[in-house]
Amino acid sequence: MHQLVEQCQRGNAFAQKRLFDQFANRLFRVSLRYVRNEPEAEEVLMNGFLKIFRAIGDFTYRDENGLDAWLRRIIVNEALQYLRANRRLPLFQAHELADTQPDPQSLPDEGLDAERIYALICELPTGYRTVFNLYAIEGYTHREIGDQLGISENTSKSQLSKARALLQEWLTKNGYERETRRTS
Amino acid sequence: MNGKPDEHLDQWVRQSLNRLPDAPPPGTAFDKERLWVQLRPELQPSANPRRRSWAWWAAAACLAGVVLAWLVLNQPQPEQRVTVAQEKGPDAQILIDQKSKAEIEPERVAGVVSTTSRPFVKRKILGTAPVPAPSGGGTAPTVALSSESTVDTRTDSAVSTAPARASTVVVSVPRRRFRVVHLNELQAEEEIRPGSYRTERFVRLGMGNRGTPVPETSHPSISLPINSKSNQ
Repeated sequence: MHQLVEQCQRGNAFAQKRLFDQFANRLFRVSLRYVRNEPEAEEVLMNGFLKIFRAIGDFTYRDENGLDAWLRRIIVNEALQYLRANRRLPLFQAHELADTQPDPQSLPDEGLDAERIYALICELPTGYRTVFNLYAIEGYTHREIGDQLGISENTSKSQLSKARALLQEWLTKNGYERETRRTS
Repeated sequence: MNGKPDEHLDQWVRQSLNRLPDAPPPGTAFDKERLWVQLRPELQPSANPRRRSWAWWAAAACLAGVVLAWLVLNQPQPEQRVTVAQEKGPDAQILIDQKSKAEIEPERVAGVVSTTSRPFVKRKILGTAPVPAPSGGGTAPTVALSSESTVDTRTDSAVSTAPARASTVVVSVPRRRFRVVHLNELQAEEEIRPGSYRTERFVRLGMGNRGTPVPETSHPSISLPINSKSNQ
């Protein structure tokens, strides 16, 4: 992987293709968790990879986890920028919670736990989903989320709390209560 | 208080997502090959600027080399230098030499006058000012010479005066090429030199045909016809 990054830093097209192939699917999922719409997620992914290949010269490779985190951070920032540009942020209205219910058709079949949870997260309202993604999955702090989204820390906390409550409710309805309790 | 169970939920979700296969989500039509085809042309310009910048640097280096070579090849002969010779006394002299170039300080050299038969003297005339004569002599009009002045050896003669207070040592000159003249002598020469006078009127004698017609607007000429009868 280190050599692959070095080749990409030299502008090697084959190395760029290999890096793209290795991370495209994973980063597409990340993008889709934020923008939800598939063509928009592809656009975010494409712009993100453009930034990746232009900024990879400044990247210092340490290990694969560091590379994965760096790539993911670029895609997340690109997704947030896309949401901001399309005026979807901040969308933290209270009625989102009451109006939104997961579409049973969009959920994967039972047995595919990870896919089912992924689909539930994608079904969260934009504000809840964004804060939950940033805090619970990406590991941002509330202050960082507030800076990114232009909201206060308290707003970020309340959004996260509501997102968790809604997700818990959906998981319970889908039979995951025992699973989450067992893990915790 | 409520943070712990919530954090467990977060952790459980994270672990679940980490188990996701490295494939597009089911039900989506994501095709990474199609996206790469779109992405590839966008990546080309990112590689080109580096080459372009190298090309520009190379071109700039070549241009600089050409300019330097031209400057070296067209470098003028060693500059003829001016030697400033100053003597103690009211009539100090500045000698101009082929081999030495002196920068004449305005405060040290009060005035320099030079006469050249060819216009090869590069000098910047600052103005004229009377020079105080320390020995009680009369003041002579002088021309101050800036420190940028250089004199080409092709000059036939140069004359200069300097005040007595200057005390710079004379640089030895193998051959004296310039005549030292005082400014008053130059003015005397100008007065002595015969002037050329233009003929504004003339008298034409005789009947001969004129080769070229004279315009009517020119100065009127007086024609005196030669008539033998008039003398009778």
